[in-house]
Amino acid sequence: MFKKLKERVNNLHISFNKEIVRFVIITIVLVVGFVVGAIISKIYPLLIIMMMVLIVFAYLYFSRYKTLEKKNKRDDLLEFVNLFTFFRIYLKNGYGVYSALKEIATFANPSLKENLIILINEIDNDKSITPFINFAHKFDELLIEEMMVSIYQMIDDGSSSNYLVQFELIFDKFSETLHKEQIELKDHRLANLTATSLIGSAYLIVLITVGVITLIGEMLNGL
Amino acid sequence: MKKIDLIFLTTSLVISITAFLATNIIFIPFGIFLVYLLYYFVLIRKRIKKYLAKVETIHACYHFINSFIITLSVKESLEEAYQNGLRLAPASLTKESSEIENMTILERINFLRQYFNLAIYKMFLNIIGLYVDQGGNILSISDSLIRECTRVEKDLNESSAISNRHLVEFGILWLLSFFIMIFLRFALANFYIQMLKNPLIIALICLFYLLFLLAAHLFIYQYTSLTIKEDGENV
Repeated sequence: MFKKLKERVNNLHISFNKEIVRFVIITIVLVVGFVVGAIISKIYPLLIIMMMVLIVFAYLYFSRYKTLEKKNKRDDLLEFVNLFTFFRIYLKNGYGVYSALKEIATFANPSLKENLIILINEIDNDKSITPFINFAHKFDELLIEEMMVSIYQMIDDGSSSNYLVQFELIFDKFSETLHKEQIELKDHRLANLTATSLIGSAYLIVLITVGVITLIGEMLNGL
Repeated sequence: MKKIDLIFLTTSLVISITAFLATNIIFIPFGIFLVYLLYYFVLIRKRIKKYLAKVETIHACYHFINSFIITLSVKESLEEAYQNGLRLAPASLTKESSEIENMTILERINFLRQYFNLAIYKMFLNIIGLYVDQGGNILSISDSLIRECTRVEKDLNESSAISNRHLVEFGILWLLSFFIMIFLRFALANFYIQMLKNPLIIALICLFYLLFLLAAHLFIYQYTSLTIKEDGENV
């Protein structure tokens, strides 16, 4: 399990050792904070809350890699759409598939640039559809595979405008969906963060409850 | 001092005053004010400024490219297209262009690549290069580029409208939370003063202010996130 986690973290280009050190430091700060708080206030049940906080923290800390993986995949898709928007512009202005791919590689971010260079090199050595399919497999999207097949057919059939239209149809649909989803995602995230004020209000109620219970406890002890 | 700095300073000050009302201890509001200021100046100010500048640049880029291409298609003059492109330019772009008046038009639009720093502008430069080399109808050459520019501008406007709506909601709802706390402070005056004798309650109140700061941080982070592609070679 530990080895699997290490592999997962490394795949995200994050230092596993740094992650563990950060986790240990935050845990120590939390433990010291709660223990000092419990000793000063003499409310020892705080230590039970501490255990719960630590469990929740550990869960959130180690489960965030899944979110990061999802985010990276989404960023790759957005980068793909951005780049292939330019690819289309190049094609429409008379560039061939190969030279358009070379041009868009100059726009790409490091991770996609690497994949594009691999694709260009593979096209040099292999004239079949395989390099395009290999490139498409880096994204978990069937539509990208369809687009890459259209691009391959453009090479094979001499940039026939029918294949350009086919590519454009699929690409426009994909691009529109992705950009729409991106706006919806932002809307959804901001709505969730707006709801944190409810957590703030709930926290105040808990605070008052703790205050009341403490006061009643003190009055009873005084009696 | 910029408007955004003033807004943050005022907000921090008002929040610190509520902290004084909530705790009745003089050094706590100072501590909270200091933490909020440190957070703003050290962690988030740069990000907010970068976001505001980027939004301004994207709008300016959209207007520049559109006006440039449309004027070029009508007048067929790069000089007039350039001048028309700058018609609705923000002060920063006008200043930038005034410093390069001795250059040729092509040099000037190439120079502005550093200012816009957007992939779409690099594409615009490629298209202008193609037009200068080979001629043709600029409107048909740049058709896809104009469509992409419009898409970016539309998405940015939609995203800004959504963000601003949520910002107002976020502000109002958290204001209500602070109001609840101040209301309790005065409605349950004697009882509340008794509660404040317990250091745990003071600590929990301070934690409430940190909770708000965390929520505000996550909100600002999300608010200022943009997915418009930058010009990779200029970054």
